[in-house]
Amino acid sequence: MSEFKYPVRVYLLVAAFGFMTVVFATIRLGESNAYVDPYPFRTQFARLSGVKALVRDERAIGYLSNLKPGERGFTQLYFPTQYVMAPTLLVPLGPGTPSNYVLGNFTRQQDYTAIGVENGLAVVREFPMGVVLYRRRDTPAAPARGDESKTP
Amino acid sequence: MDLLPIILAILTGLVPAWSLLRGVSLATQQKSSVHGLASLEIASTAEALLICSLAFPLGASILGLSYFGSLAAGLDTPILAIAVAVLSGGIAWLFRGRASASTGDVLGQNAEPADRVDHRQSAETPVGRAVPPFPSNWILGTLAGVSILAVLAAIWGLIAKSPYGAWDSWAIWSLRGKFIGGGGEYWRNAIDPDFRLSHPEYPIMLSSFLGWAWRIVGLDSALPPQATAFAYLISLAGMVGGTLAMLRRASLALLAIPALLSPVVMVTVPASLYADLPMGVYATGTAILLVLAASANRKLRLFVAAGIFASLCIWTKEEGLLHMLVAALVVLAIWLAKRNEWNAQWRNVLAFAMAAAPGALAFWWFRVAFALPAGTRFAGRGGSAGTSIFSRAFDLSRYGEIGAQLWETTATLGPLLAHPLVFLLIAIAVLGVSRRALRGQAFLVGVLLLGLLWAGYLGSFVMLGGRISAVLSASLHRLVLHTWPILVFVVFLGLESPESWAVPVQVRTSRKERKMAGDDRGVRASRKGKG
Repeated sequence: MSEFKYPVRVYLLVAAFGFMTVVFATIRLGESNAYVDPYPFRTQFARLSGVKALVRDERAIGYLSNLKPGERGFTQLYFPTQYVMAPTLLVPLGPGTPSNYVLGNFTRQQDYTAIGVENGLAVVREFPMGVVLYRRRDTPAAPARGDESKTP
Repeated sequence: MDLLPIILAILTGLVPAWSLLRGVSLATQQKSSVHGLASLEIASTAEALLICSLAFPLGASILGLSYFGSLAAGLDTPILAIAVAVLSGGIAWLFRGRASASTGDVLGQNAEPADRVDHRQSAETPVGRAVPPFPSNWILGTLAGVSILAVLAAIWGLIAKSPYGAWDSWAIWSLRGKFIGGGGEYWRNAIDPDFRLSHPEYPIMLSSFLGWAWRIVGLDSALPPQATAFAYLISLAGMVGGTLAMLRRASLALLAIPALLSPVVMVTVPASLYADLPMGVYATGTAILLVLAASANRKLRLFVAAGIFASLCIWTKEEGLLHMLVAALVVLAIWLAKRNEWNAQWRNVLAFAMAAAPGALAFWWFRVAFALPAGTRFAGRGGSAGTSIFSRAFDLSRYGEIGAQLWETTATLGPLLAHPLVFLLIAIAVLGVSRRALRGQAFLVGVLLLGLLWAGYLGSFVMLGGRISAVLSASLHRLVLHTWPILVFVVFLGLESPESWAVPVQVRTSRKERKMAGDDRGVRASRKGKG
């Protein structure tokens, strides 16, 4: 009867792989533990929950911000907002922008009514943390879905 | 409930995967070692693993694409996608064909023989002596399990802090999924030209599957893209391990798993919920199926499977077109390599083409009917704006920039003590290359496919508009995932197995064992005398 034996090199390979596996596993778990989320979405969900309830039946609405396309920080604000507002599409305000409603998304306190007037918009409702819902001035005032209060 | 879409995807893909792959493995015994699998005509545990690993990618693609198709046809019901999935499973069942010869489907006359009979020439290992599995496979299995669990746990830790992934997830892939999952006409937002800040022209399959999943579990759940990432990663490990176990040895398969999962991108990219992990899965699936097809006598089914996976590459990411073209070239190369069998082998080329054609044509329809023209891959911004393709090709400074970025990305894949390339180099140095495997068609097909892919990626980097270093620094770590699994697979395919180093040792038997053996010889002799 015969068995098989293996040279030391094979067991050294197993030991080496074992050591390296433990090393990379430890490092990955450590990195995961130390990770800090650079995009705190939870803030966006809380910030936009009120306006989302009002426009959730709109397939697409306009988007207005103090940050302009191409400016530093524009997409960093736009995309998290868009993700939270999905499936409603946010279309940067411009000719042919769909829908009567426009989401104002501002990074600093401003005169939102004046900004609306500049862009042919009227404020429907202001929310905390720079969120404003506008409607186009040339459309009749109609309450957004779920808004039981009278519009200004 | 939140995992229901994943479960449905696995169930959807099981029948087609089984139909395409059952009985294709090397079978050294007539019945399966796993109880009950013989009735399913599955010849080995490795084959079962491969079938299960291919199930989710196949199922997710069937459900995602059929759901998008139903939306485009004006039918907004996720149940229809399930009906299509059941129908495709039925069709796969009807066309399953004969699984294997009665002796089990050994991979044919032209196949790579398993090194269950090891052929390393040595004074101690006579040719033809069957070597049992490496006795320390349990240690290797433990290492593979530790690496899998560690990577999954690390991904989970990242996802717990960033449940919506990273930029491209909530700006492209998952976001489009949210649009598609909104029901009604919301799906059109995913391909709306007004969505120009993102990429409405990008392939839609992953997003469509996520959208279908969200239609089932509700848009408030963060789980669909997370569970999808886990499912794809587990499928990837199963594919590589299962195929290596089928073509070579379980010991090599188990050694390959820690090497496969060692790069940092195997944690960060899945946790980012990007489409690069699915892209890597479909690319690896295409590669292993072509390698199997090059090995197997029953090639037709495998070429069909490879064609399906190649077409799914282009539905996953833009780079998928390169993968499909390379796969087609490799199929042609396999055909041309057998000049004396052209007439017999052309059916394989046709099978690949016919399997890939529906997906490719459907993608062309998607691009023409819905998506914007292809992105600005060759348009210029910055330093290369306005330069022609030819001038970029001969601009040597671009190659230097690419090399520098490749070096930087490679260096950051892992620590020196556990760098992914160190795994491969140590395995090569200790086990050595298998001359027999290197001469085999399977290995050559793998090398050819990998080489063509790398050449294609290099070409695309050279042609990039804008500053190469800026573009590559943001994307190269993700692109590693497209070919790293194939590299690991090809390397371990070409190695000697631990069993190849086995040396037979005569074992002294005990007196009792010798007595029993002697009694047996006496009984046999008396029976012979009577007979």
